[in-house]
Amino acid sequence: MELVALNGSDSADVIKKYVKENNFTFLIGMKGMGDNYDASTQYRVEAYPTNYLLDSTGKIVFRTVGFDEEAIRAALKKLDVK
Amino acid sequence: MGVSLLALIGTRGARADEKADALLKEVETTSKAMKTLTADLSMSQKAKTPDGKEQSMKMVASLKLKKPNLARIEFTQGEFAKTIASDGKNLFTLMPGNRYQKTKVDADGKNIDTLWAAPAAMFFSGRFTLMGVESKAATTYVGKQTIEGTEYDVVQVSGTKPFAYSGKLYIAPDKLATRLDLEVGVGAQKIQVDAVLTNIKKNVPLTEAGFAYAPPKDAVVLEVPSLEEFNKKLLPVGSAAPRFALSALSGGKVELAEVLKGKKAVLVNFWFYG
Repeated sequence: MELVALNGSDSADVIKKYVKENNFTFLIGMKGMGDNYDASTQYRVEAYPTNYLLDSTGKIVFRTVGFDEEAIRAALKKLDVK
Repeated sequence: MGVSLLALIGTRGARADEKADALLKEVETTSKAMKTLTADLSMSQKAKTPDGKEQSMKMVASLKLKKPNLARIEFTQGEFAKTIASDGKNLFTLMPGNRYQKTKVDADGKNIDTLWAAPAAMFFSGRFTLMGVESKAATTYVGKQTIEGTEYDVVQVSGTKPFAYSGKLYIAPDKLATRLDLEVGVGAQKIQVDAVLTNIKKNVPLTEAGFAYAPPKDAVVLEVPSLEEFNKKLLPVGSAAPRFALSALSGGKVELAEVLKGKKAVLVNFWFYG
């Protein structure tokens, strides 16, 4: 499984500091900075955190506002991911 | 790759121990047997943000609770709420600025939100819940601790719903959990909550009529969207996730198509520190 964390609109400095302090090792994407897509708009994100779980083909299998760990684990189990 | 996911969602796999479970069972029995409870509640809440800012808030309230779902919590200090009231049908939260929310109260009083004042919330369910949400909490017996002349049994609790939390419940000799220290992770923020009940009176006769409540005539009602309503607005399950190519913090791009390669699943998490 891969986790991609996309930031809403914090400044790069805030993101860097926060990621460093927490030793996050997953992929972090930032908004703005000349990017073509505004991912939060595309994904209709109105509240944070919002989570989308995708299968191997990129299809949405589960999504929720908030971080419902049990529900995410249950959805992962269905995809046969430990 | 599970490691980095765990970093975000906190600890898991902690075991419940028998002593803690037995104590919490006693608390549940005692709480459920109680017909009414009046007490003073003092709470402090400190929020720590990653850039080192601290915000703190103190709240003081008087509490009047009656089974199965009647409540009147009057705040005399603090900016969170002025009154939380349940007349058995509706739950009102009157906020500063003369605005209020109105929802149906659960038959068992579970949604009577005492913010993070679990000791008050436990009157209704008997169980420790965070904001009325029950999660599979891990519990550990810590030992005895005397605070202001009362010897408490201290139980460590931690869970993940609705936010990752970890803290201590202090169980008084009469088997009521009357004190709580809790750390809650809300997004990137860490919130430290202490709540204490004092002047506790159990089973004082309180009439149902005494819980009748109407918000001030000039108060403005606030509509609160539910989580389901938020979720409904998201992209539907079964649809293809939009492609994205964003600047990666580590340099280069984060591209969905690239990330998907060779993976059984990808969790796309949108976060915002603010």
